[in-house]
Amino acid sequence: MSKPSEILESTTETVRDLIAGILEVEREYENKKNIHLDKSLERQIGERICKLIEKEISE
Amino acid sequence: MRIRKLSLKNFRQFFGEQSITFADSENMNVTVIHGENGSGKTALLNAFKWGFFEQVDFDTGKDDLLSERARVEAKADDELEMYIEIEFEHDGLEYKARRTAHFKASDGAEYRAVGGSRLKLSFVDEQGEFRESNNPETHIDQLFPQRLHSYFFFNGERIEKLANLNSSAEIKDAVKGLMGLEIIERAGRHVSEHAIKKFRKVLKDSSSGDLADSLQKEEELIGRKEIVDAKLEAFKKSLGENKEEVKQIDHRLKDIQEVAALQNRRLELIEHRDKSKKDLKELKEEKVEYISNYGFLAFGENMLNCVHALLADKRDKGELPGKIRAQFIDDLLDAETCICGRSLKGEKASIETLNEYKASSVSDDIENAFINVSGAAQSMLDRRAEVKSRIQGFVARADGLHRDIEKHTDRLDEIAESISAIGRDHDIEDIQQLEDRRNECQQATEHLIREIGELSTDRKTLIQDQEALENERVTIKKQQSAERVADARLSAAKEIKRVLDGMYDALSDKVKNELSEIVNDSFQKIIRKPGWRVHITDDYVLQVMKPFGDHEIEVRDKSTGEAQVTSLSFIGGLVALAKRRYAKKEQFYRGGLYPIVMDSPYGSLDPEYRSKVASAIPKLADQIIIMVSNSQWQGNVGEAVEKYVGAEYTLLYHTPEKKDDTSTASVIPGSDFEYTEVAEGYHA
Repeated sequence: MSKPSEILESTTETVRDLIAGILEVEREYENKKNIHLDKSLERQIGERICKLIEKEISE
Repeated sequence: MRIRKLSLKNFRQFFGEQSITFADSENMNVTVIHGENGSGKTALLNAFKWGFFEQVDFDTGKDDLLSERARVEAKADDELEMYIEIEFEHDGLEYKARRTAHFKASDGAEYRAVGGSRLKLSFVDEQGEFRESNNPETHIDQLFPQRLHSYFFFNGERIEKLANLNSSAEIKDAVKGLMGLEIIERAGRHVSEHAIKKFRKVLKDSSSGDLADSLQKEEELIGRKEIVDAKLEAFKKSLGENKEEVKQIDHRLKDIQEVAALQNRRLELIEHRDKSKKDLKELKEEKVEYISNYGFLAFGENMLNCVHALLADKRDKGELPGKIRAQFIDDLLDAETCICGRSLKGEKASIETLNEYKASSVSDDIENAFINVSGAAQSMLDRRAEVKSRIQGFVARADGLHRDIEKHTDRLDEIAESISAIGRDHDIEDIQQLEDRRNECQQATEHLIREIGELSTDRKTLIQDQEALENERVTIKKQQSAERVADARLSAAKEIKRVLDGMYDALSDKVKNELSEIVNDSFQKIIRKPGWRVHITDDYVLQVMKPFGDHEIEVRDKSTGEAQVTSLSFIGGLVALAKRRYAKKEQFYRGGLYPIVMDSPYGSLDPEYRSKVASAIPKLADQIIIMVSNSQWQGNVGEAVEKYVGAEYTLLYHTPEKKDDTSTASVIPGSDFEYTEVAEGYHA
């Protein structure tokens, strides 16, 4: 099995930045509530992730 | 997390308000709570569980939590309050969790709970302000996941079950939960359920027919794959349960005198057969690898002979390797010196001759290629000669292993028949029933293995079909702007998912391997069987191995003490690794600090294991709380733990029973009803 660092290196810098941003969002919510019980919160996180990707990859 | 204080009111034996303050200093991290049977040790363990999660593991369930003395002494229509309050520190913040329930007896009937229990969680935040959690249940779960609590609050006499876990799901969950890996898993799920879904829809809506059609097909494939995945998971779970049941039956058959010898022989044969199966699997892998690397040589005879002849011809004619290197001539020209040492300054004719030599020399690249190809061709010719014999060797070894497996299987069938016959002939119903059930489980296991195999193949095909569709789309994509952006976003989201999944798998694997080492270190310090070791398999199964001839086999039939030692090593390893990760503050997984609360950790152990476990327990976690009886504590255990004890309490048990043999100050007979007081110090 590959090492975690090798997997990160196997992708582009854009994807690495996006992953860092996504994990930051996840951590922010993790500290507030137990999210898997809250569907609306799950949607909120999903939308923030979509926005991060849309901002990074735009016309 | 460090538990500061536990306060109880009217909970089980604990009448009125009582409290315990726990030790948490670095060198004196152990709190010992002494108590005889019935005094409330298990009730204290359950006080934590009920306080945090509203869970208890009493045989009577949640019905009888209210103190008997409180009930008897209450006046008619009194409403009785019961609570558990736990003060603790987590990540630098001080918390207080209090769960309260109220009880009332109407018309002289039994006391019943009025509504459910209520949890209140307050804390002092980073700014020093007092705050109350709006969502205390989920907040607690966030600080201290409920599904992991059985690893930290446990009854030592029942802990051995962990070591016999057939299902790896619990261990995988524990590793994932404690190391904070679920954040990566959750990010992957959110990307998949929201981002990929959204961008796929945008792309579909803005796509021309072909692309939309391709995406539609892919969605169908994904749906089918999800169904296959769900079935696979269910079958794997059933497979685990079946194997566990066979293990239990084997254990029971061993205890029946009439068939014990046959059963032992059966277990030996299973071990031999499993070893042959494992060897066969490894042999197949070795063969595949060998054929992948060298199989082509079987078909390359003409080509290799042709290359060899061509190179030999060049060598014979003196064309390759070259007689003189271009670099050598360049060096002479740069130094303006002939090979004999004579100066070439002004010697036009000589310089011209050297340049002619250089023009006829062979370039370094061709020289190197000639040397490399000559070496490779010769090596391939040499190796080709052994390909056939190696492959024949693989086939012969595989035949031998197949014969072994067949022989062992036949013998196992005979043993099954003999055991059934003994059951029939002696009319021992238990044997017949166990053997019949064992056969049913074995057949179900074989059926499940086939089903899992077929489903895995289906799954592989579905993944290949999905990849083919993705490739197809690459060729039919329209170059419209919106479509291009949507496609780029979808690709990015898929790539993010791929990397997150890969990271999750790799980090889980890394954590699992690290944990395996730590668990084995603890295990080695306690276990007294030479050569035994414990490890966590790739499937997250806690496995104890022992030497068997020149290899190792799994210990299937651990004694209660051995199973308890294995489980304690696992929990200790888990806590130690979580602490190590927490200290390192790693980017992707964080760990944490957790206490261990154990009821009767030495209960089922013999004196030697008691002593070894006692020495190991204070080092298992930063904070240890243990509940012990006098007989468990006295002697080696007390001596081994004493220097780590920072707080000590005794449960003074008032009982209506008159016990003539009571030789301890902590059991006080003659009371009208049963209740317990918490007293500081050790009252033996």
